[in-house]
Amino acid sequence: MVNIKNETIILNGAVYEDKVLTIRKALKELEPKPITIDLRKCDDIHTAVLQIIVSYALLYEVKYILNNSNTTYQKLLTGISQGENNCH
Amino acid sequence: MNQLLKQFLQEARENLNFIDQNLERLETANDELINAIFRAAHTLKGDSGIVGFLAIQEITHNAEDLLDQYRDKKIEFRPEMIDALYNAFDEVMNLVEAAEIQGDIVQADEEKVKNIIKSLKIIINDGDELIEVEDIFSLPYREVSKEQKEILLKSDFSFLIESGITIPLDISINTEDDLKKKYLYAIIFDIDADCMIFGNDPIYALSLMNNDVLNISTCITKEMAHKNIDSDDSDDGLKLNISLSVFVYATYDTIQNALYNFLDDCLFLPLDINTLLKVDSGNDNELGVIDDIVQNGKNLLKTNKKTEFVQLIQSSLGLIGNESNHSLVLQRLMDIIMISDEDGTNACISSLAKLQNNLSKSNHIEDIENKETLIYEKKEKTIKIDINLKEEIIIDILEQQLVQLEVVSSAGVLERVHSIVEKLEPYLSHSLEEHLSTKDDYKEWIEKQLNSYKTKKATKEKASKFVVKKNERKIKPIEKQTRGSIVGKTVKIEQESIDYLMNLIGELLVAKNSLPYLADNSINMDAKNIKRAILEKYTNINRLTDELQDIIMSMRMLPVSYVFDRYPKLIRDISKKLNKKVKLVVSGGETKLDKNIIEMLADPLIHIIRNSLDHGIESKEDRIKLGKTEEGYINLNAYAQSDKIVIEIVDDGAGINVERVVKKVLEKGLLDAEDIDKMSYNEQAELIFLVGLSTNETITEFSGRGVGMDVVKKSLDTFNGQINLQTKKNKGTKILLTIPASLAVTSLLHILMNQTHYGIPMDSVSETVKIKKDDITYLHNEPFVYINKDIVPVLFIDQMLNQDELDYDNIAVVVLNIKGNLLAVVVNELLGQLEVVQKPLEGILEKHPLLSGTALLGNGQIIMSLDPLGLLGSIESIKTKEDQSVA
Repeated sequence: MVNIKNETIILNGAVYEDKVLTIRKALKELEPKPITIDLRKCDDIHTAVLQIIVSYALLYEVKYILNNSNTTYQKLLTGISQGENNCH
Repeated sequence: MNQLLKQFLQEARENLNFIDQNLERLETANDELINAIFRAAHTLKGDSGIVGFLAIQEITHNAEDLLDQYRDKKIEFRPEMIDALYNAFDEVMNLVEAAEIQGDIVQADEEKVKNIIKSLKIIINDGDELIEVEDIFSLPYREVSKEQKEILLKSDFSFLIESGITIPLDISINTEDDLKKKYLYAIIFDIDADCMIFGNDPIYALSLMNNDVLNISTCITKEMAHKNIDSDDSDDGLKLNISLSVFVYATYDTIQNALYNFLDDCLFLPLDINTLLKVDSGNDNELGVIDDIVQNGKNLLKTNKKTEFVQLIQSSLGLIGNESNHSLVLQRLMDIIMISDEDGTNACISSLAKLQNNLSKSNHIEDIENKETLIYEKKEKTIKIDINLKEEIIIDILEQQLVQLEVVSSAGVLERVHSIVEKLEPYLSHSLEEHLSTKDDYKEWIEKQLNSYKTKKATKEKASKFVVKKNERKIKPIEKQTRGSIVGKTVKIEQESIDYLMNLIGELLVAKNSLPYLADNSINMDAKNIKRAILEKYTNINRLTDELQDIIMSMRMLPVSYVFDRYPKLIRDISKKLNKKVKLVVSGGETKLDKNIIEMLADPLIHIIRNSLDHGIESKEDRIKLGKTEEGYINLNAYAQSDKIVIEIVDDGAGINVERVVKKVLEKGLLDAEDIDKMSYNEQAELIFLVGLSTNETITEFSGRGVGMDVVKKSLDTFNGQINLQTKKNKGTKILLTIPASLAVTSLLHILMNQTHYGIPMDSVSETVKIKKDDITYLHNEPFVYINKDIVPVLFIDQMLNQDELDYDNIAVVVLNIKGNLLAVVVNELLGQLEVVQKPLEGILEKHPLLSGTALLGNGQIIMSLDPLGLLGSIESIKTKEDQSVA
């Protein structure tokens, strides 16, 4: 489920690829504001959704609120973001 | 057959057809076409992996590698490349066809697959023959390239401290058992951007490994990031636009299970402490601080005070700057020291020393002895571990001596280099030459050693690349397959046609629904008005069904290039084997033919082309003697002529040796000399279509068994095609195939005999006439009639004709022209022309000599289609019977 409150996007449960357009639309409207993504109740996120979030995070400021589950998607969001010159 | 496999086979056929049609142009292809061929091969590989068709996956994987290398201009074009790729994709097509027949995945001929892969790999390895080593273990994954490795090693590895895992000093994955051990792997996802569209989510796949995934690194350009955010709704956002590198601490087996769908598109780098420490420190100079860190750090590590060491680096990093090259090495040391064992700690101490040495070298090489000691320490250690490392170290040392010779100008450098090389002598392939005196002499000698070592190493690497894994595939040879369907069982239809069809169906429904209204209204109408109203409806429905027929017919029509595109390879292969030079010129490939005819045309054309190549086109030497160009040509041309399609096969070869054909016919008693004399030159040449005639003295694998050309004729007969030829000695031969554009709808002349409806194919009908009984004359008791000055035999079909109903002053006659033979068939009544969808005869009528099919009339009555050839045959048999009775 996706909820948007001001500059905070709340993702709950499993966020599948059908939410790509919703989240992209929300990010487009928020651009270039610093945003917060609340993932405390989020179990899983599809790569297509993660891709948009990571894109926004590269361009603007994004703060993640995570839980302690250390899921794979969290590893991606908090992982190494290589400089764009180092893309394979 | 399961739905997934069925879909794979359909798509595989499309991709293979595309590859087949374009591979020939690989040399001159632009980047777009090369990419398209590569993508087709890539899709084949991916899809075959999904359905578990391992043989196809293996072949296409290697073919894709070759195309990839060519695409990236890493290898140059060579003609063998085309042959190797054609062989590979031909085998894939064989496997696809075999699977279609069996309805399941088939096993491939292991030896054949092995040879195909070998030939592809030889080209990938730039023509060097591979040293085939049986049973050598090879890595099941692709390793990252040197450049990718450098990028990966610049990553931040601080997550290693949190992980608490112990990383070995050195990894040598040499056996399958090594794959069962947990290692730290860096995995680069080099995956298809469309993977998510097909339902493959890389992060989901990684999540299957749970906590074995230590870190995920993403990389995206700012431009792409903007594009991802700013796309409009037409982009569903399912294209993967980020690069992913993942650090996993797991066994390879675990990784394999989780990343099954991505495995072929992932690159692996097993990481150990040695690799992690190989980070380039560059040349920046922070001598004072680095010296302190090195000295203090060495002491801390020797006393196993790792935490203090980390603190030392943390406090010092600020002094040398986080962006400096050396800080990267120090950060890396900090990352891995906590997870290293004793060996790892020693490696860290060496790395520290190396850091100091590198700094020194940038100013002046005075500490060279120290460095040598370090190198030898490494050598002593590694020789025991892996024999390959010995070579690496020797190369390393030799390269360093070269650097010394270039950088150092002091007089002592030659002595130092000499003493080092002397120590290495036992490991070198050439002994130290005595005459070495100048810097250049030493440089030349060292370069010679290096080249020798590098060549040896490269050969070994190539050998290890070619893998034969025992028991990996349990493959049995498949039965020899003949090529099945050309087009496949599916036909692609344009959306526009479907829309048009839907509109017609809609109109037809409206027309149908109007009939009950007409029925209701007819109560108050008189018969005349009812008839008019029905005819109005009929006209409308008739128009709709005509349009429906046209659209369905157009859907069945495919360009003849489907069959023409098969021949470039055939011609190249055969001409190569026959050592002839032949150019194929194709035109009119866009001419459309019925799908079924295209299927049926493939084999006759192969026979004709093979004959042209084998008997027609002369050898290079003979052509030169005859004043022709060295290269012969075969021209394939298709064009429409009224409702027929004509296919021309023209060659500039020797032409048909008509004298020899005639001689053979006479020798075999197939015809009388008298009959042959009456024939024109080209008609005599057409005797090659007689069954059992072969004029070639030697039977070759391509033709000459006397079955080729008569098979061609028979095949054409089955779909009412005609074959004619024109030939000229030493000039060439032109073969003309005249075939109906479509088989689906047959045009019949509707006749009535003894109250039964019959149809005669309009193709054979020359004219219809009315004659009087007196017009019929008898020659040797045979009835004949003069029509347009031709004497035409008359056929009364006793079993069908009602002679009592005949009006002898007005006899209806259908004049047939059956392959140049005229025949007047007497019928009771001529009813007109009909277009019907003819069905073949089944059961007891299947082999009826006079009937060829059935169709339904509008009133539900059955109409029987007469076979013109059967009618012609019946007159011959009547004649024979009469001859016998007279005798």
